Amino acid sequence: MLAQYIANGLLIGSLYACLAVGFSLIYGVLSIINVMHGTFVVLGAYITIYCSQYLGISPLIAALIGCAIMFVFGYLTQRFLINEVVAAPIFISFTLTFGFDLLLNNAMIHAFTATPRSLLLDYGSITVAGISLSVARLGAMVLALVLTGVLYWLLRHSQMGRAIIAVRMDRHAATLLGIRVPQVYAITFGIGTLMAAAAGGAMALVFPITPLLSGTFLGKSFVICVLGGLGSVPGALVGGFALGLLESFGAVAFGAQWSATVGFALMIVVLVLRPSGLVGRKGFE
Amino acid sequence: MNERLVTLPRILAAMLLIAAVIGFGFYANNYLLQAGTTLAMSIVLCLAWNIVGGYMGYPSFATAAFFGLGAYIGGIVQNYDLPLALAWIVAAAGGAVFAALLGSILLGLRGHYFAIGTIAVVEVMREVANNWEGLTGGAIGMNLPILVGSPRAVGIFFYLAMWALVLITFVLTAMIVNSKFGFGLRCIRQNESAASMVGIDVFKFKVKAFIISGLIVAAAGAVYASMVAFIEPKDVFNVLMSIEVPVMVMLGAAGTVLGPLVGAVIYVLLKELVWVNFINFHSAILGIIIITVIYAVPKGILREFQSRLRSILTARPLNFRKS
Amino acid sequence: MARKLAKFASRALAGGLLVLGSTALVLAADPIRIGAPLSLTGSLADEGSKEQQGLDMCIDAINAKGGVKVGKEQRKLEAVKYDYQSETSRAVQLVQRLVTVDKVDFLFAPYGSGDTKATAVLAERYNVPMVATSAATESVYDQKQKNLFGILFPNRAMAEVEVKFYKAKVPQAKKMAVLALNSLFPKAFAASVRDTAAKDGFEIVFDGLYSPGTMDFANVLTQIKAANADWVYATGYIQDLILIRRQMANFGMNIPIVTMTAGAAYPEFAQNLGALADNVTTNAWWHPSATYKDSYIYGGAQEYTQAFQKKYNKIPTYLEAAATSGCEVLALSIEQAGTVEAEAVRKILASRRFETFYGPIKFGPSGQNEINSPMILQIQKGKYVVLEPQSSKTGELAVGVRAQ
Repeated sequence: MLAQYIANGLLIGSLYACLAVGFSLIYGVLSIINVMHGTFVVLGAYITIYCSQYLGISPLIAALIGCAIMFVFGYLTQRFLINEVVAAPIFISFTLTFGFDLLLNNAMIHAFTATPRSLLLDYGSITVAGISLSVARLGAMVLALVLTGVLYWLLRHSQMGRAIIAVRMDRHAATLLGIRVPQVYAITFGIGTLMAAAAGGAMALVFPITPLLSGTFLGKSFVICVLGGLGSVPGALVGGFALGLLESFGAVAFGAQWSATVGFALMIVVLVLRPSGLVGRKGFE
Repeated sequence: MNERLVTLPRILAAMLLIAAVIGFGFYANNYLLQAGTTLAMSIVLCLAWNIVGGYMGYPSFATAAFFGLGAYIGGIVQNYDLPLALAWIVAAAGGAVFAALLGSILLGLRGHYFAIGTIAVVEVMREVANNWEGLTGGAIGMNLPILVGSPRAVGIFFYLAMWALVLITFVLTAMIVNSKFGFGLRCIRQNESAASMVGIDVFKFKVKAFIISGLIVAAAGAVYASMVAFIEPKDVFNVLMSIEVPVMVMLGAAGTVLGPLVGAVIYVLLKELVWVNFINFHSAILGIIIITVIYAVPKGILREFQSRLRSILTARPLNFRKS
Repeated sequence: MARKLAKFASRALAGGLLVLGSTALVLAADPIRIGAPLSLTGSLADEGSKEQQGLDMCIDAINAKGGVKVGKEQRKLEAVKYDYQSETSRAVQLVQRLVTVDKVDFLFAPYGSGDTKATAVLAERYNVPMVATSAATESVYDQKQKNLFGILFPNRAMAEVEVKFYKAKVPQAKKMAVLALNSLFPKAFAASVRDTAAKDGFEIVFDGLYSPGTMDFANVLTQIKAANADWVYATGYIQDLILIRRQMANFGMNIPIVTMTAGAAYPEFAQNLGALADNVTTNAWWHPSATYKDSYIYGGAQEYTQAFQKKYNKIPTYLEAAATSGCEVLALSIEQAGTVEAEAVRKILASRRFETFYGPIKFGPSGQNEINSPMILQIQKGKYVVLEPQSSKTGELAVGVRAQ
């Protein structure tokens, strides 16, 4: 059974990792806590569900459409709405995104209602060496690794990626070097939103979606990023798996009602003992 | 210190205000009475937060943690058939102790990390309350003894109790502002390392501020619990409260004596208007209000008006001398 | 700056006038007013809108008849609605407002056992009769309040009927696993079921709780699978139950009986699960296929269901029906008392037996409905089949919930 517990932990962990990558990126580069993150994930999930159900296309394509839409949405949001406060103290940006989130969430409840919606597709599960693995969650694991890998590569090997890292390390120096910082910010925010939408697509395969999930997703993203390392993209991956395993064993040891608490409590411990998280060192990939 | 805190115009203004508040309590209908009590509670929370978040510059989201703690301690004490006032005092003491413990752990963190840590504390506390049935009744919630008396009498009692707490906290804040302690806090906000080099015992100051803030919030929680007579974890350990309080203070102007008051009054009023009249869109409208505030008055309404108001209305921190 | 101040002041003034105006407007008319705090946003938004629909069904039907007969005159019914955002403290505040500002004659309780209990305190203080249409947990009614009237019969009655039923139908099922959401109603309900089952000879091989917002039941289900349970009983709200059922399939769990309360009684459950919902059993305090008759509104359960479908394009569940009947018993009591005066109406509410499309309703000494009419349902090929009681039965129990 131990192997099954570990597998369970890693599978949910990969979903968590997908969730947190976008959040971590935005925090790392723009230094803002994007309270809208959870809502973006849910939006991505809804786009995936609706495109898939009403246009009859495969969820993968639907998710990609969602990513594209959300990238544009994120870019525009940052460029015209959030750019003003990027350099301001944390409370300002936190509160601003909080205000936007209220708006978005209310709109979502009206558009989609609170009734849960799901993708009526079941990919079933496979059994490997006596361990049951859900195919949808395995897919999410692949997605998490792909997202992280692509982002990692992008940041290192593309010009835009290098510009993003430069801005992250020192935004003033970056400006002096001729990098158009507001543009970089907008693109980064767009990428972060795109990742959230991708995560939403994965979530749509696994959970029944309601607008109320945005709070849960945001909360998890927080914990994961802190565990892994705020601002570090591989950190989101590590943090996701770590949280998945922690909750998994926490549920077995203390009972399922304590599993979330274990995560938060450990988050505090990590914050106090090693604020940079298990992996992260802000500024360097 | 450079500025006399207690001036004649200020005393007159304060007395007028107190009279107005008490008068309102006796003449308004029950609903307005409760609205006034809720407003008072918001002001207390804002003033308390202002000490740690405004003057000291540590963005704390722990308000809900202390509020819930105070509510439950108050409830547990009252359920042993002990008097109301004792319950409130014990709750405040509990808040102080918890603040001391929590503070020593968390106050070593800076900025973002501190903020995130405090949010986590709220979540942990809520889950503990949810699951520790023997102590808190768990998710089912806890009943408190219902105060005997007509709705009006009970309403007035809690109204006055909350506003008394407002007065206490306000005086406390004013005293802190004009003391060496307050000066130390502001130094910490400006530059913690420099403050330490100048000889301020930074750690002790931080913990002390956290304790003062914590015990006030816990007291408010206990009064709230006695008032509603039934509490549940998700109700009193509500992260939304932790977020709204800093928003209110920022709206008014963090780091000033009157800022929290102004901010709380405006926010609560706006929320009331919106909530009552726009049943389907109120949270969207609230969001719009918050956004507008950030864009239009990012430093807080009080500071934006500072150059236009007489100094009689604004107790300026010492270092902000505008010509 | 002065412009901003002026703009703000004018906004505040306008808002204030609006509030005053709407209050005045309302006081001018003469309908009977029911105060309804509803959770239209927040975590209970789905349930809140169901309650609203139920309430509207009642008010529309009664007003279409001309209103409630109070002595010699006919007065229309009106609901004063506010959204308490699924937050208990706001529900309490809103009840305060409904009583003191809107001066409603009667109150509807907010959704769920927890919030009902919190607001009942206030209703009692103000002596305003409050009808609770969504609270079944016995502890809600344990404060000896005379103003609280609960439509839903106690959890315990439901648990007893269920345990007896399954024990008789599937005698080879001996081991039971109980998984409950850590919230007032689901937890209390599961405890009722568990205790009744244990007393009746079932072996409880798993007994666990989970927190709201749980995103993964993998480990819990791994344990249940390893314990070889014959009967899995899960409580929670609809999205939790959907997830649990899905993950059960992921783990290849084939269980003879799977019962889920309370989200499984809503059509959205089957809609979200498709074929996976098959053979899941649940229960309900009422179902559209009930055969109750009603001489006041709608004529009976069937007619009510049809009317509801026509208006809202979906099938009603016990939530909507309870809300409708809650308003109905109020109207009936007012008519019998000949007045809207609280004391008189309360006397009727406390003593009379009402025959409604929802079923017979008689409020016991604690204020809760003491006539139990539990229904056991099963989803078969996407449709609900009634297994109990005999009078409404439409099919037989199909044993075995499979992982596809």
